[in-house]
This record gives sequence, C-alpha cells and structure tokens, in this order.
Amino acid sequence: MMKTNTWVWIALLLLSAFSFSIGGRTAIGLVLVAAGLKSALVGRQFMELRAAHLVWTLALFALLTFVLGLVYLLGQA
Amino acid sequence: MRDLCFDPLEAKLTVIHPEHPLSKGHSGHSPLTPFGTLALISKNMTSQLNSESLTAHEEYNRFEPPGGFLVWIVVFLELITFSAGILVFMVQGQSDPEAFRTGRALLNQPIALANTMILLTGGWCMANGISSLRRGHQIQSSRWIAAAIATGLAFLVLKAVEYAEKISHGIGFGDDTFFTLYFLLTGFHFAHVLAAAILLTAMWVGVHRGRYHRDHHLDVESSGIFWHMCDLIWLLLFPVIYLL
Repeated sequence: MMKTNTWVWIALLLLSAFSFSIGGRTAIGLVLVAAGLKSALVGRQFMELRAAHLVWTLALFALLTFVLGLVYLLGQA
Repeated sequence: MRDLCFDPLEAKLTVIHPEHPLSKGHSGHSPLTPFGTLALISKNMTSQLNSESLTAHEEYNRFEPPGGFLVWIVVFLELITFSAGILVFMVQGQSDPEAFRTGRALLNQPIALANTMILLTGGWCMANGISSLRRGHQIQSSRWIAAAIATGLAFLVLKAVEYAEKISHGIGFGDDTFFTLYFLLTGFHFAHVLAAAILLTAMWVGVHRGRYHRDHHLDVESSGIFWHMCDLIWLLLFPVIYLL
C-alpha cells in the first residue's frame, strides 16, 4: 500500500512539473489533462475511492470532468 | 431501500425499547391481557427489526465511502463551490483578457509550483499515516501525520510570502477583477488548508496519546479526506490561475 502511495506521489510530482513546463494558452488541453490525471490519482489512491463503491468514483470523476471540460471550452473561446 | 431506512428504525427502537413500559416484556403484564399481548408483539417486532437492521447495516457499510458519508458531502459541496469560482474566473478572463494576462504575469509561478509539490507531498504523508494506523503502527502513523502537518504549514508560509510580495508591490484585494478573484479563490483555499492543518494536529495528538488506533480511526480517515480535498482543489486552481 505505502509502496503504491509512493509511486503515485512520484507520478503526481512529475505531472505537476510537466504541466508547469508546458503551461500557457497553447497547451491548455494538455495542462487540463494533467490536472485531471492528478485529481484522478489523488481520488483513487490517496482518498481511497478504489475501496469504496464505484458510485463515488463516478460521481467525483463526473464532477471533475465537467469542470475541466468547461474550463477547456472557456479557455479555447 | 432497506439500507436507507435502517437508521431511523434503529433510532426508533432505541427510543421505544428501553423506555416504554411495554418493552419490559413479561415483567409487568400477563401475555393474556391486552397490554401483555402488545408487549409480546412489541418484543417480537423488536427482534425481527433488529436482525433486519443488522443486514441493512452491512449493506450500508459496503456503500459507505472511506471517512464516512458526512465528509464526502463536504468534499462535493466544496468542490462545487470552488468550481463555480473557477468558472467565474474563466468567464471574467474572457471579458477582460488584457487584465488577466497582465495579472498572471505578475504572479509568482515557481512558488505556486513549489506549493503544488508541497501539498502533494502532504497528501502522500497523510495516506501513509492512515495506512500505518490501520496496520497498528501508531508511532509511525503519528510521524507521517506530523510530516503532513509540516507540509501544510510550509504551504501556508509560502502562500503568505506570495501575498506579502503582492501587497509590497501595491497589489491588493479589489484592485482589478483578476486580483480580486485571485485573492478570493486562493484566500478561501488558504483558509481550508489552515483548517485542515488544525484538524490534522488534533488527529496527531489523538494518535500520539493512543486515542486513535487500528480499531478506532474513523476521525483520522475523515480528516485525511478533508486534507486530500485541499489537494484536489489546489490541483484545479493551480493550472487555471497560474498556468493558462
């Protein structure tokens, strides 16, 4: 469990560094995909949604996808 | 349906059963009298409902998320609130792109990246703290929780440095739309991290004193979920405010 946490933590740090390096209006899609991936990793691993009923994972991911999708559309406009 | 109604049933039973004179069973009334018959019916119903509620309770636990329902309601409400703020930020950015471009250029991106790394590290520490507590390693768990608190304090200090930097340059709340929303969103998040750090400190004291252990740690789990929620919110704020 703690080993998986560590791998997820490293992945989160790498994703943050990656989105920081590509940040800007040209890479808006990639930055938001990285944010979505990070949120998914935090939700599934750190918040332990993997152990809960699937409904909770779906509800959280639906909300995050909705928000990031709207941010993407507004950013593109 | 059953899992939703078990709690009120159980609550009703605890009210009726010990307090009501009929619940004393055979002690006061003969089974042949109307009161005695009622007492027997009540007793039978009680045992039937108790066994039913036990089954329902198992279903409830299977559906219950880590940390309990209540903290997850808070998580969803907070995420919706911050999402609304983020969307307002994006819409305002459309109406005044120049002010937002200038505003973003004045922000300290390296500090924001450092804060992201710090919060994610705090999340990792807390996840390990709960994992250790579940395995019965209380000392190890209290160390992980202390590390998570330290990361929270580091985040707050860096954020305060960032605010001080803005204020020293004459930038304050209400100067323009960008900085008004910047201070609102990040300030609200700052308050959440502060609250989470206080919560974690209370949990650390509890684990350290042995109040929370392998068999009793729901409060620590709930506080952990609240802590991770601060991570989640920051993961949405960071790209929107600093990177786009």
